[in-house]
Amino acid sequence: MKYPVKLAASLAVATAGLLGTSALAADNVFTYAWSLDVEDWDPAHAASTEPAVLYNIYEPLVWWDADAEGSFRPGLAESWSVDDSGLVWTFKLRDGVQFHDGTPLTAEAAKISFERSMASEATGYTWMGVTEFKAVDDLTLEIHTAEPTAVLVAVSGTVGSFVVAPSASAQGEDWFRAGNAVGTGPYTLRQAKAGQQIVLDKFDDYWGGWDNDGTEIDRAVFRIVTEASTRVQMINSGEADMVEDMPRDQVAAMADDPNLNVYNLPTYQTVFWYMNHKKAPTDNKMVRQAIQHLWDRASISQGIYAGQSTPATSTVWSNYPGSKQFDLPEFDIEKARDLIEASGASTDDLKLSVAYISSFEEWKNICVLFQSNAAQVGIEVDCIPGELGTLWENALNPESYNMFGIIWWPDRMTLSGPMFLQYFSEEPMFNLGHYANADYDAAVLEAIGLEGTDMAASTAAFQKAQSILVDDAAAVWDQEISAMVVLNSKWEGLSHNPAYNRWYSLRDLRLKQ
Amino acid sequence: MATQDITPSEPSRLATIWSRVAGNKTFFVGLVLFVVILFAALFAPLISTHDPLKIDFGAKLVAPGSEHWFGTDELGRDLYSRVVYGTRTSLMIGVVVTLLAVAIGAPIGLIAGYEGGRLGFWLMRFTDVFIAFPPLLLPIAITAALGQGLYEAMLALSISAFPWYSRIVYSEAQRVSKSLYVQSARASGFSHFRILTKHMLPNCWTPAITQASMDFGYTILAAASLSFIGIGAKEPDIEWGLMVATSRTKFLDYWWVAMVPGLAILVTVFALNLLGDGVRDLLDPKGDSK
Amino acid sequence: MKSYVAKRLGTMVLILIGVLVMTFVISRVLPGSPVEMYLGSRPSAEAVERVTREMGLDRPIYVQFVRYLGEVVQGDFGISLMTKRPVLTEISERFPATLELVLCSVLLVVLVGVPLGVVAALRQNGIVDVVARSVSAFGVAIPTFLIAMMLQLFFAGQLRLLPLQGRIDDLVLLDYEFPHVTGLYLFDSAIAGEWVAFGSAAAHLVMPTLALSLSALALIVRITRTMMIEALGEEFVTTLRAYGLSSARVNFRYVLKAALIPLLTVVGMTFGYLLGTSVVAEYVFDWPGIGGFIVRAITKSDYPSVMAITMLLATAYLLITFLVDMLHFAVDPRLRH
Repeated sequence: MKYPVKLAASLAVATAGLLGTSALAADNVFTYAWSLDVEDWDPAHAASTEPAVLYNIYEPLVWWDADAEGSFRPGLAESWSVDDSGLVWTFKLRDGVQFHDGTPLTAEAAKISFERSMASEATGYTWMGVTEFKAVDDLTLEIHTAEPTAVLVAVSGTVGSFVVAPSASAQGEDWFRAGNAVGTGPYTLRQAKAGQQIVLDKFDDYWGGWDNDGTEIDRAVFRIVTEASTRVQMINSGEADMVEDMPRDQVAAMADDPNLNVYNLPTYQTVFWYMNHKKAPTDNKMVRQAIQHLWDRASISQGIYAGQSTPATSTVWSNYPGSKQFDLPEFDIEKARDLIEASGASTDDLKLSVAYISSFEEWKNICVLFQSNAAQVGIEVDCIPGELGTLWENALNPESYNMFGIIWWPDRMTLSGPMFLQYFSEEPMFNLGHYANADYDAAVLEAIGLEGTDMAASTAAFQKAQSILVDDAAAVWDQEISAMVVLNSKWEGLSHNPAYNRWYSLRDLRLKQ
Repeated sequence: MATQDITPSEPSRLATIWSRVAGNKTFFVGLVLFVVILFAALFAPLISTHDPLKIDFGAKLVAPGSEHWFGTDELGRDLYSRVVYGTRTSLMIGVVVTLLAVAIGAPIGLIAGYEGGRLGFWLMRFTDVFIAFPPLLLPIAITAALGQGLYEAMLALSISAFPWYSRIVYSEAQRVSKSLYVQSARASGFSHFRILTKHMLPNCWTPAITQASMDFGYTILAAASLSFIGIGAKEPDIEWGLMVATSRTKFLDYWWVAMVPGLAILVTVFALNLLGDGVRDLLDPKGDSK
Repeated sequence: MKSYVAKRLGTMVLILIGVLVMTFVISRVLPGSPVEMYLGSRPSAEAVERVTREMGLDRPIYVQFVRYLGEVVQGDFGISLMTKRPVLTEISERFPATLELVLCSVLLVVLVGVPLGVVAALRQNGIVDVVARSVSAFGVAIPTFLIAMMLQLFFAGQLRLLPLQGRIDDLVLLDYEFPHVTGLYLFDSAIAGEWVAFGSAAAHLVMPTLALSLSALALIVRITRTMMIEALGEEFVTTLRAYGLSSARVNFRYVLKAALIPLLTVVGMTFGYLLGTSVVAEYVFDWPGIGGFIVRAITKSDYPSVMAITMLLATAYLLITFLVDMLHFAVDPRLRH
């Protein structure tokens, strides 16, 4: 008698499993179908997509905030000041903050974290100009610099600025890489399964406190789903609560679904295409100008990004503090044709290799569109998709590609980043267009030098440098894109600070009452 | 007057072949389909309705209908025309890869079979290495090394395929080289080259041709698979596997973008398989060659 | 008998070395610098030099190969440039997933394909035969990725009956944990009594298995049918029938046995065929096995992973062929003297 009953029960449960129901109902579980993965859990190394997860676990001393007074607002530091020489910054830390392991936040912990990142090859550059971190007492940290430096930019940046528990800092790289983290943030790392999922659990002793009214996220699961079609499936079926990185065409359709809310969030992400100034035919200014006129940015915005982007009006995001606006070249095939003729380039020369990162679906289409338009003026385009690392390595060699698509977003809120890294002649890693202009170099150096002391003069110098780039037709500045986030309508409170790319604060998300 | 022998009139060779062809129904179907495909490839510009490369954002992801018979993809390109032009790419792949594989593999097998002994042994071990790889894995690894591209994929497929032809020709060549015909040629002092080309080759090529005809369809399938996982054809190549790959993010909502090129692959490979079977039946009815 | 085994073993080792040489040669040409990949996107010149020396990339090719050979023998397949963990760890974590998929496919292919082929042979040109031959013809012509996507479209997209991708519901895995004894989720969850997990794993296996099996199924049906027909035509069958043994008895005891021997070879080949085709199926279904991993590894120029996996799969295939040969030898009295 018992056996058939047990069998029936097992079958019933198995069927339930078959239909994907899971029995937990007490806690609020939030599932984020994520297109990326944390490749490096070491805060002294993490520099690209990791912040999306890590900002729920770790916190910086100071946040950059476009709406805040002076653009900076307190994080783990309640207040800060700089002395008259401009060489010593003092940060007063918050009292009563705990790390996930129960130890208290101290200036010493911050000092150790920052020293660790300063010593790291991957993140050390953010502390350029810093000579010493000093823990004056438990809650006071001093940062000493050799020359007046924009220290606030460094401590509020997404690189190397996390405050990590001393016990964790002591463990070293390998311990972090195995998927471990101890920070002060509202969520702790419960599980990190590379390529599969990351689970964060609520940190009850978070210094900011909780309402505990049953609307907060108790557990967040970042499911690593690299295939866009699966992400679409998951958000439609309710398996996932949030997704981004959706195929642009399908996001628009989701707005009609009453169970979903679609958010169009401005980011500081700009798509632009380096043009190689050391390889024919892009070494010829008229050819570069022709290419700019062959780039149908309006169609790209409407047809490929489904209206979820705007054609760029500057060399960086148009709202970026300090950026100048320009009238960038319009799509005009006849003008391009004239420029090509005037350029003196022969038909044999008119072959372009355009490299781009294959994971961006839109870029494949941008390249195909360009290929098609370029063919009309006799230019042959070879589209080369690939992985970032491989392409980058190749692009460092000026013989490799004529154009390289890049999506840029700030890792720290300063123009010095893009202006220096992307076009400075001696810059070995990021100047993939192999651009070299002495006037430009001088203007950028001047601007960076003034950043710690006279922001207005610094901005003026940066803008002068931007004008040089535009006159030189240095690159193709394509689109400013927004992040389309789809959230299941039972949740509200989505917040996004474009200075911290792709990070959506879990603590702010609440179940609707 | 001398008497003439009366021999019953023999049907011509061609007629024999034709009767065998027509009698074999599946082969006939395959042949007809193949002719259609060939026709599409040859007269693509005439039978297409649109320019297969023309981008038209206004006609994005249109369902199959009167304006676009098979619908359009995410760039507004007409799928019917792209399928038609795709026949050119596929047939080219099949022909070139198979030709290359036979051209490299057959001579190796021929020479090894002719010389025999240790050369033959080591040749077999050499081909064993290639055959030790599960199918597709070797082309994948080689294409990855050579870089993405249709020609790179074709070269990789040829490299993976030629050892098979070496083996087939080798076993046949072994047998033939022991025959009286060849032995006497050797004894007569003919040059090796002459013996290989005039005496060995004509007697060894049948199994290779049979195998080639059966492999033709598979080659197209393999090339499509390589393009699908992203290491074969690339824009602006018009290749069916590539078309299916680009449709992946959308096909749940826009099924035709994936299914149309996919079915094109299916029908083409099916037709070529039937054709291949038919050729095998014609040339080697007992099916002993594999 | 011992000399036969020894000879076969020797040949296998020889071929294995050849496989190693080949994978090494191929991956040497892979584009992209492994060093930059390892260090992340902003490495300094000294770091590049240090890692180049550590990885031995500055030594001549033959020295690199000997070093590689030594490492392989010790079980060290290097560090994955993608995940920064040992390749062996990545492979051993993912291999059970591929194994489970391939095993299920082999089971399906043999349990469905063989009887189908047998019946088709026994009643030639009957309904079953026609169906079998048609399925066969289409099965070998349809690309695995197409059938996979069609299944997804229908069962996941339209009917919402089966999950689109993956191996198991990750939340289920977290909350209904079961010890991973063998790494095969169906087996492990069943012996642990975790039926929710079992159901989830089973649901996720349906489409990938079907997609993977179809072309192999088509081949097996065809081959079984052909071998059965040949066996039926053999002289000894007519003789047995002449002695008055019933058809059924003849068919099942003698004919099937005769067909069984070459069938073993075919099953072995199927395994190998499925190992290769699993790459595409795993890619479509985001299956966490080594097939999907190798595709990602190739696009990221993770040459240690590519080399290791290619070699592993070829070795597995070789071993299976060897085992089948041994079985063959044991079962077939004609080979033993």
